[in-house]
Amino acid sequence: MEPSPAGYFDGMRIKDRVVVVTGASSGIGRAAALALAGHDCALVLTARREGALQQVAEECTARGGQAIVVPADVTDADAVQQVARQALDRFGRIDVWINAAAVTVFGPFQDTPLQDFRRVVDVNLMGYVHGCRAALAVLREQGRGVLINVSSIVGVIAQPYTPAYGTTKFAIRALSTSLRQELWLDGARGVKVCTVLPATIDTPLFQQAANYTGREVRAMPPVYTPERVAHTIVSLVRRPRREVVVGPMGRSLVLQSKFTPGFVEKLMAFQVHRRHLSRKHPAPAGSGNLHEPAAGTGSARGGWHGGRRTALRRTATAAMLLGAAVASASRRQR
Amino acid sequence: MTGWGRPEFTASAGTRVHAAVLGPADAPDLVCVHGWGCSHRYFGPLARRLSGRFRVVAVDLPGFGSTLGPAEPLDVRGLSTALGDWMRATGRGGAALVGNSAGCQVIADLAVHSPELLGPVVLSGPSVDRRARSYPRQFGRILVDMRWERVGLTRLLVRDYLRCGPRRLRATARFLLADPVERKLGHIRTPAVVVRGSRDTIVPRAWTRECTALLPQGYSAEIPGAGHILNYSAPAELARITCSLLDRTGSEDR
Repeated sequence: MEPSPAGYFDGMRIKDRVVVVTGASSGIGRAAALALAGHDCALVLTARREGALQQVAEECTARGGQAIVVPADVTDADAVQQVARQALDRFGRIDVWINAAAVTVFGPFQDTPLQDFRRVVDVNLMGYVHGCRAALAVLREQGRGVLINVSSIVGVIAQPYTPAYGTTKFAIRALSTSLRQELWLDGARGVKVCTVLPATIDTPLFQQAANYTGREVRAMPPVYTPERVAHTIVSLVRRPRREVVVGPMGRSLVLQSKFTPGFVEKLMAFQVHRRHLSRKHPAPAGSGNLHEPAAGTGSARGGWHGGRRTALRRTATAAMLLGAAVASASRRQR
Repeated sequence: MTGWGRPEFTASAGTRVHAAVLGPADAPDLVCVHGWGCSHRYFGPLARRLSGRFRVVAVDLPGFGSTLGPAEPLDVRGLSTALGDWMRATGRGGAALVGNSAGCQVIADLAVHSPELLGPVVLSGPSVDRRARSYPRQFGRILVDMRWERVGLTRLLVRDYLRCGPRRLRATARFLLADPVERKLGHIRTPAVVVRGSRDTIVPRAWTRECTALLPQGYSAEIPGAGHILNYSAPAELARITCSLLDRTGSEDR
């Protein structure tokens, strides 16, 4: 268990890692915590809702991992430092730190209250900054560890009506890159910083978002499961990479945006207008879970049928491929 | 070569007690108490990590390591009396204590008759699990545990065991197995942390939980993926846990 001397390392065995997860009460954070618990990891769970965290901790223990609960609001730098301290008190080290706490606000730029905009920046960006500061102090001292920041493909291609969210997700990529560069210049080869860029994920983010558009927010298809992101996070611990996109549609969008940035920008705008915001169901204006956490004990999934939709997509793709194969075979026979 | 500083010899407990020392002279003392058949030597890795903040003093109890013992092997009370004697002779009363395995039993026994000598206590892998107090179970568990220890420990332990001799080893093991440590832990009134490695086969989680509950000011910590000899196989983690215990107590006292 001795941390290797500040030499180069190529990831680590996933078993018995000490992992801190912010935003562990719901969505991607929760799914990641559960996936890691399945690999015998020791988890330090943090979010605002203690009740939800307790439930996640129980689920983690049931999967064979260990978990402690340290409720904190990531906008409070001291509270985040305290999370790191508790992790060291209980487990003696931190191998992986996952920043996954995020909120969002939907609304035309001018109509979004400034305090809501500011809150999104505070949670999504300053929350990560606090996490990175607390984590890197420990990881650098150990000479080894992985820091994983969950951004979004919105961090590559922005969306209309969510300028705050998009701004923070771009900023997170810059933050990760900056840290990676600093570590490289300092020769701290054992500490890795990774960014995850998920496409639309089936999480409660959309229901809990602040909304000033007057239209209900839906998960924009194609929707992927949070377990898929969790799987990617596990693979990043084993083999750290700089940036990873989750979801094939996201990957192709990111790629396409390099060749035809103007077109992809307009495509994204159109998609959000048509499919992200409902054209039938109106929604009252509200600040969602920005200032007060949502009620209940949370969940990884958000009820957008990510699993079923993935299965459907796969079936459709398989059917299409099969059809094409049959068609080409019969044409050749003629 | 050994990584320790100038050794310290003190006339106390009816013998010449050897202690290995590492760290600046003006730093607060931290006393390490070894386990069954061991000596100061396996505290080396932990001492190196704590020597910046503390003067780490790893004592050899009479009959172990470089301290000569009486012809008749000492029981737990004999060992704890010797430890107390040495602490008084060197003016180390109230110093922080780190025990590993059977060292925790010696510290618990010291708390029974000389509680004033105890500072904050780190009990790493406290033996002997109440539910497995027999030779075959303990030896089986020790053998299985070696899988989780760092390479090099076996060689070190074998040398210490040979130096101690089979007669003393057997007698000491008998005393340790008969020691009702659960009735003594309540006497450790100072802040204490019980640490175990998550893969430790000798000290199961249920037992450390029981131990922690018995301590008036105790909490527990667990190092994932580590075995029994934390001071050798997971020294960085144990050092951090030790420091955080002392940080807590420091803020209360001063």
